[in-house]
Amino acid sequence: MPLLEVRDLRTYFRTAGQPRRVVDGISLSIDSGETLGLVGESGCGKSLTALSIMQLIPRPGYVAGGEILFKGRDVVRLPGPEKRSFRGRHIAMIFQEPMTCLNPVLSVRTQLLEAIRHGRPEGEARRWGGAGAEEIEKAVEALRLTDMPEPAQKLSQYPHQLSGGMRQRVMIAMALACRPELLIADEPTTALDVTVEARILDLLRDLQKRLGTAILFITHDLAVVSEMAHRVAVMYAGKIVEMATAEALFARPSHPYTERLLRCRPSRVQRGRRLETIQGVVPDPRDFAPGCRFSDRCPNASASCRDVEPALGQIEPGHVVACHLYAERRTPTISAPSPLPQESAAAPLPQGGPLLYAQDVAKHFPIRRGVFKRVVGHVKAVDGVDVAIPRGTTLALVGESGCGKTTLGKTLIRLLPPTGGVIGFGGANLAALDSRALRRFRRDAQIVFQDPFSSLNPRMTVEAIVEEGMLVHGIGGSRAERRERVKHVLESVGLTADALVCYPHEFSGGQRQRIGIARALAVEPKFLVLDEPTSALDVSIQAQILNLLRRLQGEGRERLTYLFITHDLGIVEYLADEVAVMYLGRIVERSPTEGLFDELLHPYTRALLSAIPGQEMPGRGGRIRLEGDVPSPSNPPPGCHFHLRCPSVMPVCREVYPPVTDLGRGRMVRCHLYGSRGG
Amino acid sequence: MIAYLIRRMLYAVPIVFGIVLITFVLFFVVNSPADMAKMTLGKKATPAAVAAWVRAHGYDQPPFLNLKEEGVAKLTSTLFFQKCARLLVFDLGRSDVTDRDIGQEIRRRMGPSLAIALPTFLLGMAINITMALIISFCRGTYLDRWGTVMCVLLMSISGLFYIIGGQFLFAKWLHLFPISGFDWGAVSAKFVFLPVVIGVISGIGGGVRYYRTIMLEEIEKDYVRTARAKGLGEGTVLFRHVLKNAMIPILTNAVMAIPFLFMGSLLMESFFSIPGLGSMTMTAINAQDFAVIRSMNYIGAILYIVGLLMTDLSYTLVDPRITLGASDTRSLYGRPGWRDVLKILGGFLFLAAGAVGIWQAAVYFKDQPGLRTVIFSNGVLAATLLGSGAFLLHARRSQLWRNAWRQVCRSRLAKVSLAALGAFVLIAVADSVTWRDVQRPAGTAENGNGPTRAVLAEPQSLLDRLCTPLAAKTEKTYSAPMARALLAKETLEDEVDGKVVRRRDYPPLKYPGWHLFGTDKTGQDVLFMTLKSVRTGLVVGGLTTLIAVPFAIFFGVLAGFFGGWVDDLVQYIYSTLSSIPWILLVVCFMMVFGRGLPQLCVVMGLTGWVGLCRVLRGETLKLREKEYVQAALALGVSRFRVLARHVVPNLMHLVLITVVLNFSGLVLAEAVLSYIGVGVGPDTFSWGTMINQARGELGRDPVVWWNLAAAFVAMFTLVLPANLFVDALRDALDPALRVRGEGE
Ligand SMILES: Nc1ncnc2c1ncn2[C@@H]1O[C@H](COP(=O)(O)OP(=O)(O)OP(=O)(O)O)[C@@H](O)[C@H]1O
Ligand code: SF4
Ligand code: SF4
Ligand SMILES: [Mg+2]
Repeated sequence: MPLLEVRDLRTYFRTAGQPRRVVDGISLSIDSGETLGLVGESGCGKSLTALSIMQLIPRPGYVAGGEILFKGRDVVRLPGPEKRSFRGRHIAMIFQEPMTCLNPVLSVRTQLLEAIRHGRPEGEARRWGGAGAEEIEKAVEALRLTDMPEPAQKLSQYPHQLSGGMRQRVMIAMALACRPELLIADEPTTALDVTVEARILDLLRDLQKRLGTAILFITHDLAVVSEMAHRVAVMYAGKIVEMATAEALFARPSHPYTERLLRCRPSRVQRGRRLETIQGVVPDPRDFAPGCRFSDRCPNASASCRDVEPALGQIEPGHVVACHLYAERRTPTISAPSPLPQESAAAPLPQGGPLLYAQDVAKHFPIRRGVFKRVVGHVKAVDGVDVAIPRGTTLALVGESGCGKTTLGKTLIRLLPPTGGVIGFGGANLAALDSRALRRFRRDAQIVFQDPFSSLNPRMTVEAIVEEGMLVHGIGGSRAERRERVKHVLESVGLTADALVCYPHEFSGGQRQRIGIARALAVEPKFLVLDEPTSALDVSIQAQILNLLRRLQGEGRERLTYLFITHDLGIVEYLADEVAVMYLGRIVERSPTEGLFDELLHPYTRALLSAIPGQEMPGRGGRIRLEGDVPSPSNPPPGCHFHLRCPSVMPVCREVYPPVTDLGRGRMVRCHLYGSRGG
Repeated sequence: MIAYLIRRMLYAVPIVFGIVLITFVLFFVVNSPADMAKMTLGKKATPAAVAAWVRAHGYDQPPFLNLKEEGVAKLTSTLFFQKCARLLVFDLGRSDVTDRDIGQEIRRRMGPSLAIALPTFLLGMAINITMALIISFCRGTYLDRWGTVMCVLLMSISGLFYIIGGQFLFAKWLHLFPISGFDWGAVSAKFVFLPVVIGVISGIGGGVRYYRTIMLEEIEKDYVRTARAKGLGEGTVLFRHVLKNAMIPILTNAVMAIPFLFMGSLLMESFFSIPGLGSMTMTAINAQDFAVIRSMNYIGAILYIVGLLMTDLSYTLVDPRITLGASDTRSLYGRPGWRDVLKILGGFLFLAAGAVGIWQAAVYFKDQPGLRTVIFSNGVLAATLLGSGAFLLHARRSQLWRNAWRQVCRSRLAKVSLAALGAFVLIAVADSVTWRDVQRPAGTAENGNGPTRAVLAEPQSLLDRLCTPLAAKTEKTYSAPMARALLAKETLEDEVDGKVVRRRDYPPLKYPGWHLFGTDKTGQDVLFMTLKSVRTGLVVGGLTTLIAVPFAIFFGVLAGFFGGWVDDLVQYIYSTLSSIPWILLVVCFMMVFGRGLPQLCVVMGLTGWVGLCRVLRGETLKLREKEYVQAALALGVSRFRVLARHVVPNLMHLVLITVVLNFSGLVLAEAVLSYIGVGVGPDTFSWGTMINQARGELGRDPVVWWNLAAAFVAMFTLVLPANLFVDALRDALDPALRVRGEGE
């Protein structure tokens, strides 16, 4: 008997009209000690499946049918109090946002003890009172299990005093405190940095080995799931469309959706080509078409697909697919992935001086304290950075969160006044610009933000949003002329003229990001700062946006120049001409994209790359797991900023900040390892 | 921490000084000592008597600098030093009227005040929080729905009603408690009981609703889901996880209130004859005792500052995230330059000119004989209607407002409320459209003495004309609703068999059965009075909001957006203004400028912008970090345009909600103020004056209850729809803003 068996689970949301069928007939099973990965685009019902198993469905949702059998007992029909004692003790859950999922005003100790006490036999668990030494010991033990540094000391701290990775460890410690048989992890690493993510994933795997816990691992990241899961279930619009072992699924993706999803991922191989995309969006759970829910996005759809809903059928042992293509157990006839045209080899890079040029740029934020709010120190978010971006090229900026990427991007376009250094744009010194020239510069340099939800004013129509910059800069004379131009810009980002009168909340995340790009393009800039423009989006939509950006760079009179801030190396490989790796306010390595992946130089770059899930390690050296967190930018360690975490640290590193070593072929690195090599 | 305390103390110094200065300006610059003397001695006092009074109370010194004296005395024997600066060291001086030492008096009266206020406060908190917890525990059930409706009902009832009704019920009818008075010792409990119970009940509606909102907000948070996933019971989740987080906003309210407990409650104490500070203030108001009012002002301000400090300290107890002292101010937009200063100043002057304009118009028309407040409120109404019209035009074009409107229309309750509000507005408009009838047209006088000017009648409003059948039907004195006979016995003469028989009996009314709500002491129809009072209520609510809202938006948005010194300045202004207990500020203002509708609106507007301003400042702080604001700046849009296009429109929903809420609060406040005797004058129709006149008559037998009841019911039927409408509006505006991912 499997540990957990879900049979035909349906979870609906009550609405005025038709209920929203968010989970619509899901069946799956998990054995002890197994990891089942559940993947799918956002909005397809993954989290709600998990919450249904926990019996924590938010109102006005309800289980409309089906069974959730845990060791043969139906969780849905348990009486209330038993349901409650079931949670935590037999099934535990960790959530996506470690920032908000811990209670901010209760100490780690209190929150851990709650979980520990809950696990004890009835009656005893009721005791409130102070914590005995034995309980404290247990709490420390629980934290130690998660490799938390100094666990005893952490007990008396509060969540805000811990970093994101540590908070997620506390969550895991709490979840595992009662040794549950099943752990549900709902995007446990999505909010974390790659380096931290890698450590948390290692930890989960390791704990599973030691404790034999079964894990239901929910994520939208195919790479993560390929590393973690034994078996994978792919969800689409409330249904499971394919389920197989991880190897089988990644080797022979059979459902058209899975197959497309895998091909959306940008990588080195696709460089210079258009990325595969999936047209359209996930349908609204209120009005599903009668047939296959993927039919209006599926390239293989036939007439019967629109009328008859395909059932899950086995195509090889342990590999089930819900698609009519396999109805007669035909061998898969998915139209062979027609190789997308290799677009005309990129035009030769225009020569000439760099468009944007920055030397020794710094941005320090003052920290004020005391009676008179004296400045007692500075957060050195950007601390002496040199950049030069040639016209028409893309510089990718990568680094852990908090290393100053965004700040650098904003400083370069004067959205933040720099504390020091020189920034030149198109030959002019930005600091010397008067207000008119500055306004002119604003037209040339634009920015696209990460969060498509907060970057559009909810109370302005799309037309007003896109038009705003044109008004300021007097582009397009009459109203009608402007409207034409707005339409044109919207078309160039793939939106129709219908969008003009709509408001942002009527669009999906990907469409909003297009509007954001359209707003920037409307003033015909030469330079775009792209601050993680796709990290909030699903892979299929990410592919659309990347295609768009690539196309925009290729066309037009003057090729656009990008500063692309990202932490996704797939994107870097796909799109960037040059890569700069940032650590604690400084650029530690810079290299043309090709060279970088052939030979990784800086230990930090190596560690960063090896943390990325699903990535085979190119170059030398195996996996490197970084210990500790990024030090505070207000008080960077002396010597090489990286020496506290560096696996190849040398005595000199603790004392002297490494100088720039130019290795030729456009490569530059700041590390004592290469001090002698260069010139 | 220590550094923080020191900083707060240092901040307090300019605030305290500002308060002393405001008091000084109000009492000695705007209002000379001679004016004060005349106020106490009466208008007809001889100059000699006035001079004697001024000398006797030590008001004969020069304001700031006494050139007659030597050395330090040059500064010390001045009005400012003697009467105001000495407040700083708590030397409160002597009462102008009774000549008692104010400091001693305050110490003596603090006890009784606390005996009432403290139990009210503690009991109220306990009951409100428990009820809110229960309601939020049962969220989504009928208990929740009806609980909320009950709260709105309770909130919409005037505080005066609770007091008068409670006194009547418990003391007069049931004879459970003494109706008023106070004594120490074992008997004190029996005096304290009634005021405390009434105080608690009158606070339940607002309190429970406020706490419920806070708790519901917390219940939605992610950590609650975590706690449930751990398998904790609902009780633990609610009491340990939710309540502790909800403590922060609760403390903001509660701790702030503690220092003011010492001040006592004006209303409670005067109704229940408690010899506390509240009744002392009331007596001082009635006796025009400036020295006492000055002192109470000052003490109130000090207590406010203490309250702020205590609030901050209490935060650190419940919220580990807050560490006092550390602050990193993030200002993305740089400090405003001199050009911005000019623009800000220009904007401010514009606002100020607007306010002064309204004020001047009010004064001008007030001095026009026969016009009085009539035309004045016409102008205001016109402005209000124009403003609403402009807003509606804007809203019609905006998808979001249209959606909100559709949402509002979906709720029947909201539609009914809106209709009720509309009816009130119609009455007020009808009462403001005024013209004068020509009694005798211009022409040649009969005796041929040349042309004469037309004689005009008293101005009459449309409402007056519509209600003539009611207004004209006056009786001699009281009569019950729908009664056929007068309430006062008279000697009647009947002719029986040709003989005149005299008997004492209730005479029949002139218009029996005509008076739906009865008549008052002077025989006026109560229904007519109630209708006439609608305008005062709406003008107080409307005009005050009209004055307050532009200020609030202007200052709040600037402070939040620019930060830096602009923020410091705005915060200083509103800290100073709000540190004076508003009722005292109103009292001072009315003493100095006289009683009247425009004065009332202006002073309430001056203090009323503070709350909204604070909200808007906080919201702007959040908005300015939004990426769309940065995107606009990156496009080269100027900062003031960013404010106008991106910040202010995103605040309008808050403004709208606050406006309606303020409005209903003001309607209730007007009644209280008029009742205390600092609102509109007794010759203006208002619910407050109606209550004031009627209250004395509760002691009669049979009880005259109808004019009281009419005023309370009218207020209730105005405030209830307003509150209900706000609820619907809030719901309608909320989901449009919150953009949620589809329910994954
Ligand atoms: N206005 C500010 N005032 C003070 N400190 C700031 C400010 N803005 C950013 N910082 C700090 O500067 C550092 C760098 O921040 P930045 O946002 O540039 O990082 P990032 O690399 O873009 O991170 P992420 O990947 O999370 O977006 C952080 O420590 C941040 O807390
Ligand atoms: S059933 Fe048809 S539409 Fe659905 S995935 Fe298969 S081929 Fe595509
Ligand atoms: S300088 Fe030293 S510590 Fe820094 S990265 Fe190189 S080897 Fe590591
Ligand atoms: Mg960033």
